[in-house]
Amino acid sequence: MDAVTLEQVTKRYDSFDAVSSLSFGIKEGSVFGLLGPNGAGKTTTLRMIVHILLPDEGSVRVFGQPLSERAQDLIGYLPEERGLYRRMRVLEVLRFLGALKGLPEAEAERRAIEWLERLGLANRMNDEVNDLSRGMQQKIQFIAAIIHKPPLVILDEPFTGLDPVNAQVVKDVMLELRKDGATIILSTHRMDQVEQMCDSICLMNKGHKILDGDLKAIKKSYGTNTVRVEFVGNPAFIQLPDVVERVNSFGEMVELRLRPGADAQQILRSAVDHRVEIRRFELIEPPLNDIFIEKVSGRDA
Amino acid sequence: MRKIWLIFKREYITRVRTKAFILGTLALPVLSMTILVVSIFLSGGRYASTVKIAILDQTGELGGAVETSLVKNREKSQPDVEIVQIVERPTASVEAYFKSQVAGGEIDGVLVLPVGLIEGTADAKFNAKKLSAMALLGPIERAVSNAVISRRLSAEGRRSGTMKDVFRLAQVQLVNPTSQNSDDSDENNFAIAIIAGMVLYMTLIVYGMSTMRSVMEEKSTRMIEILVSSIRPFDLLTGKILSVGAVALTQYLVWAVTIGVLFASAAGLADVLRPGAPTPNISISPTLLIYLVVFFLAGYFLYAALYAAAGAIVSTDEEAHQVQMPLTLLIVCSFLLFNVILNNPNSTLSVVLSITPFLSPILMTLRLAMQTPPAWQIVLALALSIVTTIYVIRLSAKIYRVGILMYGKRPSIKELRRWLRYS
Repeated sequence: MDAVTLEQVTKRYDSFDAVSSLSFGIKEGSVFGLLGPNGAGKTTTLRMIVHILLPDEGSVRVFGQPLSERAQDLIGYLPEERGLYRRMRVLEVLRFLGALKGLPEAEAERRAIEWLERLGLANRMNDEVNDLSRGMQQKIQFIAAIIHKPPLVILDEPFTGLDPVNAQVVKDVMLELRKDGATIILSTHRMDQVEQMCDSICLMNKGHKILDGDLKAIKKSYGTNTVRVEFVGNPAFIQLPDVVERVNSFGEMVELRLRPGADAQQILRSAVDHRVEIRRFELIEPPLNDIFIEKVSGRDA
Repeated sequence: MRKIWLIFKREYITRVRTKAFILGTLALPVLSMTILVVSIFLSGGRYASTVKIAILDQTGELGGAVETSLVKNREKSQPDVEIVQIVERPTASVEAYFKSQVAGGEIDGVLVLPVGLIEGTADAKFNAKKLSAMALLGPIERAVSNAVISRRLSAEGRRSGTMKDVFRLAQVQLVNPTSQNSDDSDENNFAIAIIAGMVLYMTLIVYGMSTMRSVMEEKSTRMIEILVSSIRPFDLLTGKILSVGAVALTQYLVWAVTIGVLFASAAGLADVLRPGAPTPNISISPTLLIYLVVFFLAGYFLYAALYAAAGAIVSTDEEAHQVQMPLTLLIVCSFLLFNVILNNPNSTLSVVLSITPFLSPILMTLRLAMQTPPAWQIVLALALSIVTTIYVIRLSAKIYRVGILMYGKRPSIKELRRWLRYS
C-alpha cells in the first residue's frame, strides 16, 4: 500500500496555480524526495499532505484514508518556516506539542527527555526556547515532529542551518526511523543528500511534476553518459567540443557530459597529449544535480 | 475537544504567569484601596465642619427631644450638629423659607416632623443637599424614633395600642431639593455605572488586543504551521478565545473578591484610620456583578473573534496597528456614548443604543447599573448580541484559517472577500 497518494491535485491562489494536476504515490517505508526550484510548489504540496491546506481539486490520501483530523496524528511535520513559542521552556514545548499529537502528557514528557538526551540537549530542557541557538531550536522542532512515532514523517529542508555534526545526527535518526518502517518525505535543494538517502523522487517546477519515479531507475534511464575525471595539471585538455557537451568543474575534478555517441576514450587521449596526470577516470550515471538543472532550466515543460 | 483543552490550558497558564496580568490584576484593588482611604480622610475633612439644620416641628412635642439626641447625646461617629432653629407648628411659608435656605446652601438641612408622626401615620422628612448632611440620616432617624417612642410611652395612659405600636420606629425620608426624581439618579448608582462601564471598556480593549497579539505571535514565530498540522484552525481559535476569556474572568474574580472584602471592611478600616469618621457608603449589588460578567462575555466573544481575525491578516506590528484601529474605535464609540445613557437611561435613544449589537455590552451594563431596564430590553440586547457574535465568529474563523498561513502584504478588502469564499 502507498503511504501517500496524490491524484490530480490542484491548488490555486489568486493569481496563479501553486500546484496543478499533481499525481504521485509514495511507497510505505521508503524515503521520498520532493525536489524543485524555489517556488515550484513543494511547500504547498507538503501542506496539502499535512492537511493544513485543502486542495481545490483532486484527492490526497494518507495510508489509504482521505485526510482528516485523525490522519493528522499519523503525520510528523517539520515545516520549512521554523519557530517555537519563544517564552516557553523546552520541555514544556515538547510536552505540549507531543500531547497535541495525541500522546498522554506524561508519556510526551518522558519521550521528550529521552530525545533531548539523545540529541545532546538534556541540560537545556528547562531553558526558555529564546535562549537556545537556532540550530538547537531546529533540533527541538525535529524532536517535535517525530516524538509521537508517526508512520509518516515530512521534513521540509531538515538540514539547513545545521552544522555537519548535527546534520549527521539528524540523518542517523532519519535512517533509524526508516528502518523501523516509517515513510519519510524529504524536501530539499541539496541533491547530494537526496542521492544519499532517497529511494524515489518527484521533481516539480512551477506547480507541475516534471519527473518522478525510482531514483536509480531515473538515473539509469539517462545512461552512463558522464565521465568523472580527477587530474593534476592544466584543465585545457577537456576542451573537446565534438565530444563534451557540458562541463561541471570542481577544480581538479570535473564531470563531463558526453555528446550522444561520443567516445569517452578521446578524453583520455587528449589528457595524455596535454601531459596531464590522470588520477581517476570513471564512467558514471549523471548526477542528480545535472538532471535537475537540465530538467528545470533546459526544456521547460 | 482534548486538543481545544490543551490549547486552552497552555494559553491560560502562560498568560496568567505574565507580569502584565499580575500587575493588571493588582492594579484595581490597589486603586480602590487608595480611593477608599482617600475618601475616608476627605469625607472626614468635610464632616469636621458642623452640620447646620433647622427642625420644623408640626407636632409641637418632639423638637426638643430630637435636639437633645442629636446634640447632647450625639452618636460617636456622627458629624457635629448645630440646630439653628426649632420652629413649632410652622406655617407653609416658614417651611418654604427654610427649604430655600437649604437649596441656597445657607443651612445644610431641614428636618420636618409632621402631624401624625407620633401616631405612626406620617413619616418625617429630611431636606438636605450636601453629602455630609445626608450622612446624618441614620442618626436623625434614631433620634426621631427615640423622641417618638418616649412620647408614646409618656402618653400611654391616654392611648390604646399594643407594644408593637408603641415601639414602632419612625421613618425619615431623605428629600434632595435639587433633583426632581430622587429615585432614578442615586449618586451611588451613578458612580457604579461609570465604574462598571469603564471596567468593561478597558477589559474589552485589553483582552481583545491580547487575543490579537496571541494570534500574531503564533504567526510571527511560525509556530502556527506546526500547530495547524496537529489541530483544526477552528479548534485552535476556539481554545485561544476561551482561554483569554477565562484569564479575563479570573481577573474579574480576583477583583470582585478583593474589592468585596475591601468594602465589607470599609467600616472597620475607617474606624482604625480615623476614629469617628463616617463609614463610606459604597455598595455593588450582586445582580449587577452577574450582569457585568454576562455582558462582558457577550462583548468579549464578539470583539475577540474580530481581533483574532485582525491578528491573522497582518504580519507586522505596524499593520496590526492599522487593522485593530477600527475595532478599537468601535469600543471607544460605546465609551463616547456613556453620556447619552447617563443623562437619561430611559430615553428612546438610550434604549436603542443599549440594544444595538457591538454597543450593547457596555451601554446595557451602564443602564443596568443605574436602574433596572425592562426585561425584554435586556433579553433582546443579549439575543441580538449573541446572534451577531455567531456570525462574526464564522466570518472571523474563515479569515483566520486563510490568514494564519499568509505572510507578506496585508490583504485588501477585495482579497479578504475572496478569503471568505475559500471553504
